[in-house]
Amino acid sequence: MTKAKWWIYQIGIPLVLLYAFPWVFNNAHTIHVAQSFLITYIVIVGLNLLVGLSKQLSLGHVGFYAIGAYLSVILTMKVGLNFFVSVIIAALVAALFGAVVALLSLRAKGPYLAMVTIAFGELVGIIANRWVDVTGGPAGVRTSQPSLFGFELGPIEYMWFIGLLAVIITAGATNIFRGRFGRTMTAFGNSEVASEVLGINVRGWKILAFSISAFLAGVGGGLFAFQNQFISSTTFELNLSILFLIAVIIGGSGTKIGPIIGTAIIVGLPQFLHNFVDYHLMIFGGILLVALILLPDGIVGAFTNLSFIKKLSSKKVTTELGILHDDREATIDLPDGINGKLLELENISMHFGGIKAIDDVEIEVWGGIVHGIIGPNGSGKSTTVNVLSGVYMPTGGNLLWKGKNITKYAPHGIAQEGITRTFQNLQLFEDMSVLQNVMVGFHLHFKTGFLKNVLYLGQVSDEERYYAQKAYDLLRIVGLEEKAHEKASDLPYGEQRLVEIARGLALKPSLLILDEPAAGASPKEIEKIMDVIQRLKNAGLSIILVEHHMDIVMNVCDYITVLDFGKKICEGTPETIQNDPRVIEAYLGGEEVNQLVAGTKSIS
Amino acid sequence: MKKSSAIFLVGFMVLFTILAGCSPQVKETGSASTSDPVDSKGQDTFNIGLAISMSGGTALFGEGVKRGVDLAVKEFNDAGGFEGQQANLILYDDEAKPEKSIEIVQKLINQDNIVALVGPANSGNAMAHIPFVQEAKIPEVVPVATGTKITQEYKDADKNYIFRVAPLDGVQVSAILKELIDKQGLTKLGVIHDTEGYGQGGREDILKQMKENYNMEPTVISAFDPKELNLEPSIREMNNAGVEAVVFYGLAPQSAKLLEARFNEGLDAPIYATWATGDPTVLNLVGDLVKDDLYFVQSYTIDQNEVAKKFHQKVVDTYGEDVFPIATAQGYDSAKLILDAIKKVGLDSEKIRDQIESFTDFEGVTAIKSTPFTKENHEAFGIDEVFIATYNDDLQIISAE
Repeated sequence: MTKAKWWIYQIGIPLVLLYAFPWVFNNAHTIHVAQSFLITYIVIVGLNLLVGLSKQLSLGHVGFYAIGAYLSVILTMKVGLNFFVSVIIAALVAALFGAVVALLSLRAKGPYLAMVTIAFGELVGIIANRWVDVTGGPAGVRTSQPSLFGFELGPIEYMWFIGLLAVIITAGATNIFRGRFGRTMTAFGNSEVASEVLGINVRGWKILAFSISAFLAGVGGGLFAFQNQFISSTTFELNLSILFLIAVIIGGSGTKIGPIIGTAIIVGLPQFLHNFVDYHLMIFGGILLVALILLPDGIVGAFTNLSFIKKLSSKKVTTELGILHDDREATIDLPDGINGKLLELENISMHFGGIKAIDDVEIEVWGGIVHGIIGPNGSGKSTTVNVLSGVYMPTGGNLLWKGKNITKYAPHGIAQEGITRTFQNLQLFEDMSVLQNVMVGFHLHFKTGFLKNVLYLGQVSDEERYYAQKAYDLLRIVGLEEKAHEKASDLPYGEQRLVEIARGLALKPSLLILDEPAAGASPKEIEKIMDVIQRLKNAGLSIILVEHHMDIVMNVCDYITVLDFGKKICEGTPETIQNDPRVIEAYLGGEEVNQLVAGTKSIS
Repeated sequence: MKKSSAIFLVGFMVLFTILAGCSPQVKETGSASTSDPVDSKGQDTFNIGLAISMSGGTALFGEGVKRGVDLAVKEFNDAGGFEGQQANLILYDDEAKPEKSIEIVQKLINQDNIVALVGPANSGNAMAHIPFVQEAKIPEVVPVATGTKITQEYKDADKNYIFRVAPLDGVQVSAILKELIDKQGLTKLGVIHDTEGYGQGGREDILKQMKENYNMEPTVISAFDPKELNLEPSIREMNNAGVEAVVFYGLAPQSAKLLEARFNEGLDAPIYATWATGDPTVLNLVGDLVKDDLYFVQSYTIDQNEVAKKFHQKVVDTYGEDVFPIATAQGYDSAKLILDAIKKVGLDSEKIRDQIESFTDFEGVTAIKSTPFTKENHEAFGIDEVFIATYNDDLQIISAE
C-alpha cells in the first residue's frame, strides 16, 4: 500500500509531469530554463543533505560543480568516452575531492568550515581560470552534443534525461532521509559528542556526507557542461556557491521538498525580473534577503510551522508508525552480565595545562553493580566520565576494559566496546522525535549498507520497523511511550534525561555511565529516574552513577568512589562512605553532611 | 525478484526510448511569424533585442551601448518606422555571465520574437550564445566584445549571422604592433594582461601575431588578477626587463590602477593599450595621470569629423552626458545597421542579415565604411579603420598622429 503510493508520488507523477512539460511549454527558452532548474535542483538536493541534515556549512560547492563540469568535458572531448559515463566518473572524482575537503576541515566547524570550503571553491575557480590549455579559461570551450547509444539528445530529450536523473536522485535522497542514514546525519549535525558515544564514527560520516554532496554537485556540473555545449570559467565563481546555499536555506534546509522550492526561487524568480533591467539584481537580492529574515526556517519550514499543517503532519507520523504495539512485555536486550572486573582506571591523570582535573586516580569497576562516583563540585567527576567515555584522552595512565587497553580509543570506539553514557548537560538530537532519538542508539546494530538504503529495499524497511518497535519498547521501560512522537527538545528536563537513558540502552551496553541523571529534575521525575535505575540494576546492567543527589547515591549504589580535588579520597560500600571522616571533611563537615548523607537534604 | 526487476528495467528503457522518440520538435521561431500571439497584439511594433551586461565588470560598456541603441531606435521611430511599424527595444542584462547570456538570448529569440539582436560586451558571453542565434537565423551585431573568434565561428557556414562593429583583438593588436615594430622599430616589448577573458584573449593574439608576422616574442609577460588590482609588481617587472614599450590588456579600472602604479614606481617605457583604456572611467579615476606616454586604439573620437561631433552633441542633449562615447557610438552604429536594413528589406530576419552583409551606402558615426561587410568579412573595423589615440593637454582624446 505505502509502497505503491511511494511509486506513484516519487516516480510516477514526476515522470508524467516531466514528459508532459515540453508538450505544454514548447519553447526553447522554457526548455532551457527547465534544464537549468533540474541541474541546479540536483546540486541543491546534495547540498541539502550536507547543510540541512548534517549541518556542515559548505560555501565551496561551486568547486565540486566545476570539477564535475570540466572533467566530464575533458573525458568526453579528449578521451572520447560517452558523455554520461564521463559525467559519472567526473562526479566520482568530485566526491573524492569532497572527501579530501572534509578530511582537511575535520576540526573546523561553522564559520571556519565555511572558510575552508570557500578557499577550496576559489582554488578550483582560479585553476579553471588560469589553466587555459585544459579548461579554455574565461574564453571558454565548446563541448559536444550529448548522445546516448548513438542517439543525439536534443534540448527536449536532454531535459527529459536530466529530469529522469533528478527523479531517481530525489527518490534516493528521500530514502536516505527516512532511513538510518538520514537519521545518523541529523544526529551528528545536532550533537557530535552524543553521536560519538552511541558508536557513530562522526569523522567517517562527515566524510561520507561531504562525498555524497560533492558527488551530486559533480553530476550537476557535468550536466551543466553539456547543457549549452559551452563552458567558461566565469561561471564558476563564489557567488554561485552562495546562491546554492541560499536555495537550500530559503527552501527549508533539512526538509524533503525544500530543494524543489529553493531551486524554483533561485532559477525561476530571475525569469520574471528580466524586464527590470537596471534593478533586477536589487529586486532579486531584496526578495531573498526579506525571505531569509522573515522565514529563517525557509518556506517549507514556515509552512510546517503553521498549526493546521502541524496537526496534519503529526497525524501522518502516527499512522506511519502505527506498527508500534504495546501487547507484549517490553524487555531490555542486554549482553550477558559479567561478574568479574569490568573496567580498571590505572593511575589515570587528566591535566589541562597546570590544572590537574584528575590526578593519578585508580578505580576498579565490577560487573553487575551500580558504582557511584561522588565528590564536591570541581572534584573531577565530570572529567572522569569524559575520560571513561573517550571524550577526553587522559594525559597519563591506562584504561583497561575487560583487560584490554582502551586508553587511546575514540568515543565511538569505546561505544563499540559496549560503554555508553548520558550527559549532564543534555545532548539530545533536537530535530528528531523521541523515538528517533532512541533509534539512533541502535546505530551499531543496523546491518543494511548505503546502497540498500538508497534503494530502500525490503530489508531496510523490515529493519526500520524492527528497531522502531525496539525503541518503542525501551521508551515503555522508561515510561515515555506516549511521547514517542514528540520533538525531543519539547519534553521537560527530567523526561529528556530519561530519553537519554533509553537512547543509551539502545546500544545494548555492557556498562552505562549516567552523568548526574537527576540534575535539574523535579522530585517526581527523580523518583521516576531512580525507579528506572533500580530496574536496570535488577536486570543485571553494570552502571556507573555520577550524582550529586545523596539520596539516590546512597539508595542505589552498591559501591562508591569519592573524589576530591581530582584525587580519590576513599571508596567502599555506602555505609563505609557515610562514616568516613575524609568524606565528611570534604563535604564541609558537620551536621550538614549528615543531613546530606542521610538524604534529608540535597546539594544542588 | 531479480528477474522481474530486470524485465521491469528493460520495459522501462523501452518505454523511455519510445517516448523520447516521439518527442515534440522545439519551436525555434525566431522571425516574426504571423501566427505568434505577440504580433497579433498589433502589427504596429516589432522587437529588437539587446543582450548586454548592465551589471558586472563591463556594465559601463552596456550602459554606453544602451544609449546608442536607444538613440538609433528613437530616430528610426521618429522617421516613421518601417511602413508604420515602430521598433521596440527589449533589453536584458546578461550580468557578464555566459549562462545568463544564453538564457536571455533564448528568451529574446523565442518569447520576444526579436527580428535582430545587438550584444554583448563580453567575448565569453558571445561565444556561449552565438550557436543559438545562428541556429535561429537571427542577425546579431556585436558592439563591444572583441574576442577575435566571435565572427569566425560560422565563417564557413552558408550564412554567417554574426557581425561586429567593434575593434576586435586581432585588429587592435595589429595596430599596436604596426605602430611599435614597423613604425618605431622597437624590439623589446613587455605585455601586461589581466587573467579574465579579456586579457587572456589579448595575450593569445599578441603572442600569435608577434610570432607569425615578426618572428618575435615579448621580452616579458606579466599577468595580474583583476580582483587584486595590485599592479606595482607588474610595473617593476617591466622596468627590470628594460622594455622599450608596454602593451597593456585590461579593462578600465585596471587601466587606472596601472597608471597609478606607473606614477608610484616610475616607468621609462610608454604604454600602448586597447580601446578599453579609452574608457572615460579611467580619466575619472586618475585624472592627469592619463597624460604623457599613454596610447590606445580607437575607432572613434568625438571630434574626428562633423558627423561624430554632431552625434556627441546629440548624446549630451539627450542624456546630459556622454558616459562612454565610443561604446555609445558603436552601439548606435550596430543598431543603425539593423534598422537601415529593415527600412530596405522589411522584417524578415534572414533578409535583414543579407542586407547588413551587402550594404554599400551605410552612414555611421564611427569610422565604419559605407560598405562595412562582405561575405568573408564580418568585421566593420579593419586595420585601416582604427588608429592610435592619446590624451591631449586638455584631457581630450585625440588621434596620436
